[in-house]
Amino acid sequence: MEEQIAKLAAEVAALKTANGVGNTMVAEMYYYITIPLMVLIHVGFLGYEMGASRTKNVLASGIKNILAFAFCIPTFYYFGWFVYWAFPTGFTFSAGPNGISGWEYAVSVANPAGAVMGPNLADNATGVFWGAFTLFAATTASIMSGAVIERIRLVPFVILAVVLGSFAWVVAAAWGWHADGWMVQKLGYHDFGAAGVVHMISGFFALGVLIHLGPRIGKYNEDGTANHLAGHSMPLTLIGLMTIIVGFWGFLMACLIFPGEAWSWSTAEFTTIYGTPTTLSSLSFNILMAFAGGIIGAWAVTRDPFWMMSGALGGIISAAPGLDIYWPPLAFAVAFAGACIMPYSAKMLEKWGIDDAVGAVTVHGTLGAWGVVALGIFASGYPALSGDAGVATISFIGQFVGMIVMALIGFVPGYLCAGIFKAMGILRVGEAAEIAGLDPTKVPSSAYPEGIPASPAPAE
Amino acid sequence: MGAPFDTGTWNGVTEAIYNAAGTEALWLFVSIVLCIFALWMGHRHEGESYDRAENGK
Repeated sequence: MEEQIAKLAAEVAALKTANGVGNTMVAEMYYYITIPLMVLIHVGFLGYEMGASRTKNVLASGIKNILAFAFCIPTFYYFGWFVYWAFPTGFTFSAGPNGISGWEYAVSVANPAGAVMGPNLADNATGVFWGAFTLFAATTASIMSGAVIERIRLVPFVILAVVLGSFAWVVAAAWGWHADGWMVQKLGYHDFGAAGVVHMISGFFALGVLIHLGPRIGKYNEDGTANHLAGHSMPLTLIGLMTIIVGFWGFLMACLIFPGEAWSWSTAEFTTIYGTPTTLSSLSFNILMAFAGGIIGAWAVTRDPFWMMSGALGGIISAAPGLDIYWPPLAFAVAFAGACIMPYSAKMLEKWGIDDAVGAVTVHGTLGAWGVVALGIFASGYPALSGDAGVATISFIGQFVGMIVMALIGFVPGYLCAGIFKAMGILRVGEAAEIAGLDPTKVPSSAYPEGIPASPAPAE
Repeated sequence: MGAPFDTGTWNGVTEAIYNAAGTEALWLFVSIVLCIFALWMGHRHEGESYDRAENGK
């Protein structure tokens, strides 16, 4: 009998080990897959930005976009990942209530000169987590990239992208997208899909840069009225936008915490980054409904394919803070409302002399703000994080204050850094280069060496 | 160079496996310098290009 029990216990132990190994492999694969999915966001931004550029600037816009992505990777390795773990409790760098933050903790999990940041057979998590967060960082920088096309100088732009992608949004994420974040603990701030910590930050950062950068030559007439400077390829822009949506599935997938690992919040179910329970099914319902709400809302008010596809993006951003808990038709309505706000926000900015070439401030900044506040209107009273009764709950005030904080973390560094570059005289390209086009001025290849021929054939 | 184990076999290796063990900070510094060097080269090239455009060349 004892022998049989011992044998059974050994079999159970072997099964547990095998199950543990399997769970670890699936968890590692889960986050690994989010990385190429999020690269699709960059494929999309690349197409979107190049399509929105005139033929004389296509490749310069492409180079700018690619370099934002490339420089965010090493800089996020050098300091971005460290900032995320060191900053949640504010500038005290002390440990938070969950013990997963503060300077000492950051040194143990994100030291760029330490063994934790390299190939290690005992660690299947740090690399894939860092990879997913690096793609969040690069996405944040790419959002700003489109707004400033056709007149910003490349190297100052790259530095701005690094400040945004490897520092500004990371501080916002530490404060409002981390279970130890002071905004989460004190305000009950909830932002599942990063409408505030990613989209608002980049939208408002772009606004700060655009104020100093000024409009493209020809955008405004002497009487102050604005001209539409159409990009050279609307189809490329539309396909780019749709590709961003594909990548969003990876982005939002990476916002979940896989169960059953030592670092998981739960042994049995997916959770949000705050430790609150959710499922991939919840996301599927709400992402698709918000996507549709955004397109249909934008179609209702503009009939313009550019705004329709931007509406798809803006719809998801509007519902992003509550994708884990919204009732799907409500997510549709929130997205629809956001899409309806969009063209008016863009017109208002244009009236103020802000030349945002792709509507980034509107789609990401304005709709990010709407999304953060909307959750406070529709989901007040929900626990904002895991824990026993008494944890901070979602409230309108908490979300509203959170929205203000996000706007400031985005706007202030963008405005200050761009102001410094402007004072140094290196923010904007010279007038002659802007009129001639950036491609012929500095790019050693041509986007369309044989031109873009107009078809002489009749439609039939 | 700087292997974190010297057993001559992968058997029993369970932790860090990257090379350059002991010189991590040096390579970190080198990669940072390369980034800065690339930015400086880019800035120089851009400046020359824009100067040419302003001078009508």
